[in-house]
Amino acid sequence: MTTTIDIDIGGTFTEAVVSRGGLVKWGKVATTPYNLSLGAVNAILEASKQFQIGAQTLFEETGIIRYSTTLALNDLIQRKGARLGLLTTAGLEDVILIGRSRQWGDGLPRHLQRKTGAASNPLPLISEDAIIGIKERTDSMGNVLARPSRTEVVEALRKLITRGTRGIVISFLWSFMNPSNEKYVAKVIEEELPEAYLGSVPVFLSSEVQPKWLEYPRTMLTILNAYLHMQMGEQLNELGAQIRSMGYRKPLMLVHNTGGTAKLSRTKVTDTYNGGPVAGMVGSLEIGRLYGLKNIVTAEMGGTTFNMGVISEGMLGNYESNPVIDRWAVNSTYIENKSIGAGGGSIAWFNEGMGGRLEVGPASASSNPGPVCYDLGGREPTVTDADLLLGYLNDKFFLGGRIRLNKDKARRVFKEKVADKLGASVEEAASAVKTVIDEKMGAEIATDISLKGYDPREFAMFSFGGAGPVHCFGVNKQVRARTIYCFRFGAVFDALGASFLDVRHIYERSVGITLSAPEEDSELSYRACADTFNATVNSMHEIASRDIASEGLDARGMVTSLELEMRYETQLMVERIPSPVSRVNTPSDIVAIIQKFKSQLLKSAGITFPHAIIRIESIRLLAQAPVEPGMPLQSHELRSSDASKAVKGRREVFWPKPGFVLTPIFDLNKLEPGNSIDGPAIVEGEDTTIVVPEGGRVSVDRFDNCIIEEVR
Amino acid sequence: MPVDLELVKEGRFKPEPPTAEELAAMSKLDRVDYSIYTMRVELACRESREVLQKLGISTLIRAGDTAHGVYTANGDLSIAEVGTYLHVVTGIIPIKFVLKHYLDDPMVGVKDGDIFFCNEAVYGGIHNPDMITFMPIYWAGRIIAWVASASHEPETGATEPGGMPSTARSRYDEGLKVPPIKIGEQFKLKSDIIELFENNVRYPLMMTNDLAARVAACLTLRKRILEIVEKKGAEFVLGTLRKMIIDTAESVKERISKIPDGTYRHVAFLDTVGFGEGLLRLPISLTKKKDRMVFDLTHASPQTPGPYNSFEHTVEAVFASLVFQYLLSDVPASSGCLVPFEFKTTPGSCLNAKQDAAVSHVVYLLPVVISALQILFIKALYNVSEYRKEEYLALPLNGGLRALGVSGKNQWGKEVTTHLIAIGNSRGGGARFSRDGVDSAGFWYCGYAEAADCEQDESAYPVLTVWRSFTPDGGGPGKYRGGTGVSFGYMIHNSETISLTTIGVGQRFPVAHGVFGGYPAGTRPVVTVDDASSLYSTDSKVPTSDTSLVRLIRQDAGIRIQPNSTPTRAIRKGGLVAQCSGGGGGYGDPIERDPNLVLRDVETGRVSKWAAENVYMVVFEQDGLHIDGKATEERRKIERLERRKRGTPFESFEREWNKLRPPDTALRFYGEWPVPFPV
Amino acid sequence: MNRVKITEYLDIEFDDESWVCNRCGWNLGPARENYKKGCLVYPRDPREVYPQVTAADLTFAPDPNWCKILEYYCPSCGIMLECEALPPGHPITHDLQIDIDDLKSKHGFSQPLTSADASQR
Repeated sequence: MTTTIDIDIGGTFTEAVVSRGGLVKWGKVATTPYNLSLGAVNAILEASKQFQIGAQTLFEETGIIRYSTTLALNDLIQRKGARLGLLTTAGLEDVILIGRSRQWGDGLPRHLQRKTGAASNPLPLISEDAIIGIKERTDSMGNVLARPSRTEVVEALRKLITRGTRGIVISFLWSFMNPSNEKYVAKVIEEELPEAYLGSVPVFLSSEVQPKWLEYPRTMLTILNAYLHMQMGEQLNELGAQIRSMGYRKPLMLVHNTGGTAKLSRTKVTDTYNGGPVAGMVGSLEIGRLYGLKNIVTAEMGGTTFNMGVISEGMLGNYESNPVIDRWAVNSTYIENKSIGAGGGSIAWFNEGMGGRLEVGPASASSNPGPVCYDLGGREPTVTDADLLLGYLNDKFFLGGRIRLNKDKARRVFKEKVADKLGASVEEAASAVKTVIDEKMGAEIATDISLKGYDPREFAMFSFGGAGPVHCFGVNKQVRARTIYCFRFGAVFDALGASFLDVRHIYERSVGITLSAPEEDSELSYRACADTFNATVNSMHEIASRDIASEGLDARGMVTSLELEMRYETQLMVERIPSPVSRVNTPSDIVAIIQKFKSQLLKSAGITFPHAIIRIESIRLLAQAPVEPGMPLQSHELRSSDASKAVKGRREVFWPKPGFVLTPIFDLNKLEPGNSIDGPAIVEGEDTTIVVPEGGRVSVDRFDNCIIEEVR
Repeated sequence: MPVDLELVKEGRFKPEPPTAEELAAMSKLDRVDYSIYTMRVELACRESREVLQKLGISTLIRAGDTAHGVYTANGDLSIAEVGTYLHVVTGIIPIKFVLKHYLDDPMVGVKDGDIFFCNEAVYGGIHNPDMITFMPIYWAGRIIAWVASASHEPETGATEPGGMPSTARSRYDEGLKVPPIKIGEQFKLKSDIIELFENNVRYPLMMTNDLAARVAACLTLRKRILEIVEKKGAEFVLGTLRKMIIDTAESVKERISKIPDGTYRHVAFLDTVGFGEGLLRLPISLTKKKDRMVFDLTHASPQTPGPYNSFEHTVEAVFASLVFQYLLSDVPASSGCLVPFEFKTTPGSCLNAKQDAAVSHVVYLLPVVISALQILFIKALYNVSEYRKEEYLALPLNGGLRALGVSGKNQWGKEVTTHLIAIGNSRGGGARFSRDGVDSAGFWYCGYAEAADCEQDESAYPVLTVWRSFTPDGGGPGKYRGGTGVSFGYMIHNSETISLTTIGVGQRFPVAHGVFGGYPAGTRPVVTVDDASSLYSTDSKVPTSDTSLVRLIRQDAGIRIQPNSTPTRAIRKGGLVAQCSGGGGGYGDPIERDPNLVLRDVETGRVSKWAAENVYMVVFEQDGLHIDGKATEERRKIERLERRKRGTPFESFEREWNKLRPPDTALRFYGEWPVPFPV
Repeated sequence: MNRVKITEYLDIEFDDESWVCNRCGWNLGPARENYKKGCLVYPRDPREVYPQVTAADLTFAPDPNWCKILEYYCPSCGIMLECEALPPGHPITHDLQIDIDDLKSKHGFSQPLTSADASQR
């Protein structure tokens, strides 16, 4: 069994999870943004200490290191990317500035999208004078109506280089149908500009980055990748060099938001966006397999975020339907994991426009100034403050004692801003706040699952992140998942999840194939469809094999699956269909595709049209090659259900129904498989707290995970 | 039966007084539960909207022109999720109609599982493309609430395709109009009703699909409400729905009461009635006293012979659209919000037309006058620092709606009819107190809306987007300029000939006004070119706006400059049409604008050099690329002196001014000059 | 001085109940009257504000026979306090008719002045 290291470099913390010889240990340090490798190495060292081995030994025996990072996103938000130029179809230079007229709202929380008067567009990534139109045109059928002139391209290039452009994006209309014009311009640039030829002024073609329909998100995706390409490359190369200098010789892989990993050279910057939480979902999927769970909702609640993801039918099949990275709509395909609130930082307030209705969020204290009890200057009552006042959190033991919480300050603020307004005690007010946020989060989760066509009651909930297990029981009141699972490693779940990632690539192309719906006509459909379908799939297959091979893996071990994005011709939303065939070889293959589309749409939307025309908009190939399998959870013998050895004390905790109850506090580290605890109870670990009210039970199962259930 | 006028009188949008049962239920509400479950219902409305968006065909559904709401048992709107606010209000009267006329009618009746429909504008609607589907929620044998789903469907079987015929002369030209009617039972649509609908429109698939989609949305919403009833009881739901209405009414009254008492006035003008040009007078005054506000729109021009007419109640619905985006943008949408407002119109005017009037273009008529209302709010509330915020008091998005429709065979040989909605959804935002308006900000009726990609238009319709760019000089000049709209150029491609319909206002008289010295956004006509087919096959330059089109096009290409509303005409392959969405109004005296901002505008093409020099009074250096700061200061000083020379004292000015009069062609539809229906 | 800012350019001075140009302090007349009466007025041809692009009947600028933009200037400093688009000859709008007593009380000032007080200033 190989040793693996998985690193998650976040905005605030860097975590490293080391799996070695059947055991899992982790380290967590503050991120060092000026020199990432420092934080990463320190986190690894913290973990390696727990194995009582030296860093050199660890690195030499490690078989794979994977890392996920929010770096790219941070650089994007701070506008630290490269100076770019854009060459686009003449007449359409303003398209990325017009931004479909909703750029001012994309990526903003809902309540701000309502405020038309306060709208403002984000600062553009490319300044207007660096957007140059080239006379060229391709139409919707891929016919070229006008080719670019070399003179014009050279003139545009000259302008860009004089401005100090360090990267060029080429995005022409319909280029995914026929890339010849984009390719021609790229060729001219390479011939005219030695820097482009040598790679110091890289050129990005939208038809290569993402050959998909709709020019605004396609262009934005290409621009984002160009914008951040250099930085991310430099930073991660540097990190790689540092780790290699400490004795590591094997592959370094980046976590992708598609649920897989790849080398840096095969990674688009935008692939890493939100990679961490997606890795957490992969981890959930694998752990779910141990339990035979096919439907899982992941609920990750941290100090400043609450993210959810849905695993359904044993698959990570739900892609983000409205992908926006920062403020930019893109057309990437990545696993959906959405932020549904601000977690522990959500602020409680009274909505005077609503008769003084108590609300929690969407405003957040985030990590700066943070909750009042963090003592960093926060002055608004937050969910974390409420948890503390209720006695759920231990003010002396928060994050293993690393942070001391100021309960008095929290109490004062809560009294003045919440309790007095409610005419209630501080604890009652805190309880109200917790109830409101739990119900709100729970309702969002339940709604999301329902909109996907599933029943939340057929799901298990995996609750992790620092604050997850504090709230999971309350949140589940609305969701009504059968069982809740919490994990000892819950605070580093994403990094651990990465240890399950295979090498995975997604390729997609817009094809725009029209199928006549009536089955009798399938002969006609077949001829129209087969060539395009098969040519597209074959081409993507070739690229996949090449990529996998370049990662040092055997392309013959590659597993592929095909997905189709389809719709009725006049509907605007596409439906994602797992393709029943890998090629179209006979007319009955078309029939199978049509049947699959119709039955899926009937299931998810209850609607079908016998006479309507159906289209395949895009084809997607998923290629996966397994790496050394991640550490499976060890199975343990079950001990007695008596957990009394793990009691570390009691304290007054305020529960909604009876109020204050002297409640036992259990040490998570001392609990063993088989132990079972009926609420009311609190289980405390270094970076996890599990709250079990009356009517609930937490038990430690044979995989050493905590199961929370309702008992009648 | 004759039209039920009692129901449509001004006031029926307002909430009914709470019943004794509702009051009792309200008194028992737990505060925390109220928070939780009102948010739960808001979320459910959002869920049902997503169901509709997933299933709907109408391009306007994707654009966000929908509404989903929960109403009390007696038809008052309690909680809603909206794309377009105006639909929300229009569910109220159809529900009340059914309760009043059909509940006890043994031939119709109301039962659990019944599905109702209405698109008749007389009954509280806007115009007949706006279709609403609604259902009662029953519990223990009685109605405890209603749910509704509304969307705009761009085809009604009218004399022209697209649902909004500009040549309509009466209601009988506008296609299918259905008063509140039962279209389904036992949760299923009746097939004979579907046949009826399909038989009356050019696009039956969209009609039926979207009918079913709205039902799916209603059923989702109903399910969620029943889940709450199961958990908390019917009484809880009754009390919660009523309390939302009462609470919002209180908070709006409180906000209104901050406005200094007085009367604030503005007059807007429209320059078309659809089939012909002419001025329409659209006055609005706001009289505020304590916590009530009266809007006086009397003395508007008479009912027009075209479709630019409004029913009395529609004014209130469109008003909701404005306030929910600005002054009440942080208040949940409910009929409680309309309590403090009263509307006065003159019967027989275009704002209070007779029942047989054509009203399909009411959505073009009203934003022009209701936008003026935002100017009044700005003037009334600027002195109240609590409300001097751009989220409440920005100048509104341009209200001069424009649309471009194509009909014919597409590149795949299929018959299609559509509006290319990008134009409608890319209007300029108005300027704010301390910054410019947003260029291409969205759709007047609901700001955050989507203008389709070029590739979306081109995939299904036989057009090429020759250009799509910010309209030069599109925003109203000012210390802070209005946002510009977008100029579109479409060429007919891969189809021999199509029918082109352009609709819109604002080619002779500005419709998006400025404030405090800011100019209105300018006017713009439609430009068509018979034959631009050589554009891509030769090395001619690509025009990048309607302005550059006019400058580049050859004289023999057959160029026409037309009003925005021009009846359907044929346009052949290689023909080109150019139309712009309008810009927002400006704020403050342009000669106070920071010269650096003017320079940036010129560099980016938002403002022409001509305007920079002649309107903003900025002086460029010899190279034409930099501003001469000192010379600019001088120039502006001189301008102030010249103003004092050319300006006339008010009284003598007014005397001469009052002798003037527009040409007769401008006054064809105006009514009595200078003020129709005089006091 | 007891002034409240009413618009970008106009204040109301409560001491003598007058409109005041807040750029230069010029008194534009009684606050209970139309401030426009104290202004200089100019009827702007819209073709001087918006560029004409065509030589046709529709020029890309508003039609000067249908529309003039009335500009209201402060007689002292020449700032454009307000402007409005009107058809030629249409009555001028009295846009701000504020209840001065209510305005005063909302901004925390005391009872209205008697006419005796006003005449002493």
